[in-house]
Amino acid sequence: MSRSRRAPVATKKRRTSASRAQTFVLGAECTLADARKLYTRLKKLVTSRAPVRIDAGKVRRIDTANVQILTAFVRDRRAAGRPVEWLAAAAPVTDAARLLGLEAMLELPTAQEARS
Amino acid sequence: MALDLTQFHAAFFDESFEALDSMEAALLQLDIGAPDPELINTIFRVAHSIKGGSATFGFTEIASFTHSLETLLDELRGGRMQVTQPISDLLLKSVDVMRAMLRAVQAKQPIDMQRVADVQFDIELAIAQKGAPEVAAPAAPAAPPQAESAAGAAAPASRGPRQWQIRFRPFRELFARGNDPLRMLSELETLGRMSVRVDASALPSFAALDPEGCYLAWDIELEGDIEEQAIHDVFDWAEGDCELEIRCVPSRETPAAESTVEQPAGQHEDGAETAESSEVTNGAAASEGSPVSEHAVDALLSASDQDKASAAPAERAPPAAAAAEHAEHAPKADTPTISAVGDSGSIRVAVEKIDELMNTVGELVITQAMLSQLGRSLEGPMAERFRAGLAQLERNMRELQDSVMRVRMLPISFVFSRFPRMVRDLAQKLGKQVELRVTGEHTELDKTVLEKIGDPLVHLVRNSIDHGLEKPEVRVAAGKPPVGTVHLDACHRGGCIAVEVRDDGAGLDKERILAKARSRGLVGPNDVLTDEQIYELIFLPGFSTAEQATDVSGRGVGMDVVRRNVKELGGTIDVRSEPGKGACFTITLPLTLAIVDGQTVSVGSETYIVPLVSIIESLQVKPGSVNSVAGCGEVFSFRGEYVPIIRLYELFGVEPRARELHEGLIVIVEGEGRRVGLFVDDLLGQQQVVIKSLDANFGRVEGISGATILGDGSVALILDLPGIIRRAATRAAA
Repeated sequence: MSRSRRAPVATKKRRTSASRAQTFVLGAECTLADARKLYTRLKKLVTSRAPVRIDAGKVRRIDTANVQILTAFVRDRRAAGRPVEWLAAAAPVTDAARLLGLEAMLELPTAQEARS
Repeated sequence: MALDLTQFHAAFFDESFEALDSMEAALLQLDIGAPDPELINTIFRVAHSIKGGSATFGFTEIASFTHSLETLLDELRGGRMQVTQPISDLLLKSVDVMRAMLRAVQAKQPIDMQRVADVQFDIELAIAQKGAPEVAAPAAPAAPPQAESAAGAAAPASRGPRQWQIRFRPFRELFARGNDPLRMLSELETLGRMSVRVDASALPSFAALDPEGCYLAWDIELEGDIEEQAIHDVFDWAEGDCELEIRCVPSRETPAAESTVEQPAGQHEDGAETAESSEVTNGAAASEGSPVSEHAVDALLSASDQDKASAAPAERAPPAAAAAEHAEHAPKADTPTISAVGDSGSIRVAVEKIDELMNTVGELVITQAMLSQLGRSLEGPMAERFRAGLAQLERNMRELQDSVMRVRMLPISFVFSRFPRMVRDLAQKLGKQVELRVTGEHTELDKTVLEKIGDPLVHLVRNSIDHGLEKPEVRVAAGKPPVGTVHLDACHRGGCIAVEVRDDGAGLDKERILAKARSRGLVGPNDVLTDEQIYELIFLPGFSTAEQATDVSGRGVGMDVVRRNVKELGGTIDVRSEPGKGACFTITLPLTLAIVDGQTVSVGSETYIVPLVSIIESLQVKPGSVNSVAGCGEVFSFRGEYVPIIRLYELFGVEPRARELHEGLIVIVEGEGRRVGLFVDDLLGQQQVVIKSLDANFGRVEGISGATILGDGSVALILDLPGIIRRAATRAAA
């Protein structure tokens, strides 16, 4: 009895969340001191069925720890068939990805795409 | 919870101060005009490390200053500027400024920005003026410019294009130690053409990720006219927090190399690429073509020659000629790899932890003494075995104690290292020529003793240079070499450490000391003093023979402070002098302040501890061998000298068992160069005692240096012999 009652509710919930894309905005400062906060916020989204869009356009400073978190996030979502869309990526983010050799794994937009 | 970087500040400050000390030492060794490149590299590395660390921790003022300094050092390193006396002085000033900035930041005090700005301006000015080398350093022999180096036989080591493969495997805690690979890669990129391959195979699922742990690793190829040291410098701060391999392979910069030596990606040491890796090339840099395409063979030969010349013994890189001969096999066979792992044979431990350990050992010593006492009173078949076990325990305790004490021991070079700079500056200021000789700098001393001995030694060395050593012309006139010598020496001497400050100057001026003492009423006009007694006068408060008080040796407050400081450490200071040949101050210090070998003595119902190191002899006096002298109390003849007797029961107001001298014992002790006989009821035994300070709970009592707990749980006071001698003298005078 309980199963038949629960199923529609859950389906409804999933539908609701899946239909609405979630935009995740990265703060200006993404340093080690901010890494845990970023991780906690992204953890809520990593298994989300809803499309996730990351806006990294306001980032002024980012370090390896934060890029690594984003990489794991993007990789896990991609593996689950839920790619991440980048709305924008500021120069510090693209530079960091390039220097760290993570540009491809992060599926970052090219400079041209980012501008458009 | 966000990572609190402040927890790493203490380590950063410790390491930076140590690094500055080594930078200063290296600067003092720099030969003007012909500096050792390795020394300049050492200095550069320090500036670079401090810059990186301070930038990481947000100490922007320090980072900015060290950046300027680093630029100057880079110019020196590259041979574009010469090390001249003004530059050397400027670098030393920079060390002072950096030290002051670090101290200010550490103490959360404002930085003296005016001073910083002044020196930074000088640095930038020096760099700006490098275009006029003839003006800046006309006499300095110029290092061969890079363009000439390929042709020149004595080309500077490791010049010319090279390709480096760097395997960088950070440990998990790399971020937490304040290191950011992004910063390192960014710095590497400035050195030459770089291509980076990341290995993300260790990156766990997002759910299992520690956001502050480092899971990535990199294989980096770097190409250009890069010295190995420059690469090491980039990773300097991460040393110990990563596996690092740096290897040189033949450069791809020449067309010959491009066509024949270029390695496919699969030739990385790791071999197969993981699914999680990707390769990224620095596009802008990679688009720059090689300049000498028509001379492929020549270029390769030239590169080989160049590297042959560069294969100096000190260089870690292999001869590129050999590498070229063996093509791709050579790098693996010949290239040395530098691993940061395993290099660190030491760990940094907070002093409090060691003190806790020492306290616990102290308590164990007391417990062991208690058991020993219990064991002595036991009888029966088990008693012998128990005592044998106790003897074993005692041996082990002593070993444990020695081990823990050794942990606290540091070489005295920690103190000596400040002197080369000080001597140099003082000699310059006073127009004297001084050579500092240091021996026994590896002698180890308890950290607490070490920290407190610095100031007294500074006083002594300053005095030697200011008052002891003569000006060059005076020395030459006296038939001595113009350069005076100050010799610092440390050695073990009978359970103590003796530190000597010797100079070959004029020696102490007996006549002047005596005249001064007489004029101040310290010595009667008709008193006849031995040389030793005259020299002792310099330790009296306010005594100075300097005709003019200088800002070097102060105003005569030095020597008494020196003696007081040394005495507080349980040590003594003596002076010997020979007119025209020099003076020698000897400081004798206990190895440690925490545990002392003591003789337990009884006076009435009390037990006292006399430090064993001060005891010369214990004896029973015959009736009639003691004389009473007006103003001195009782004295008795001991090996040809009259030794005053101090009755401890009188001094401490204790009811004794023996009042007649022949009924008890006399313990002859020495303190501050004086001998006295302590009259006690009996000697109880010798044991190690753990010194417990009384200062925290009681006022300071002259004659008592502390207390200890004996095996039976009772408290015994530890005698401070110089204090007792003073106290007895005061009583006799009264």
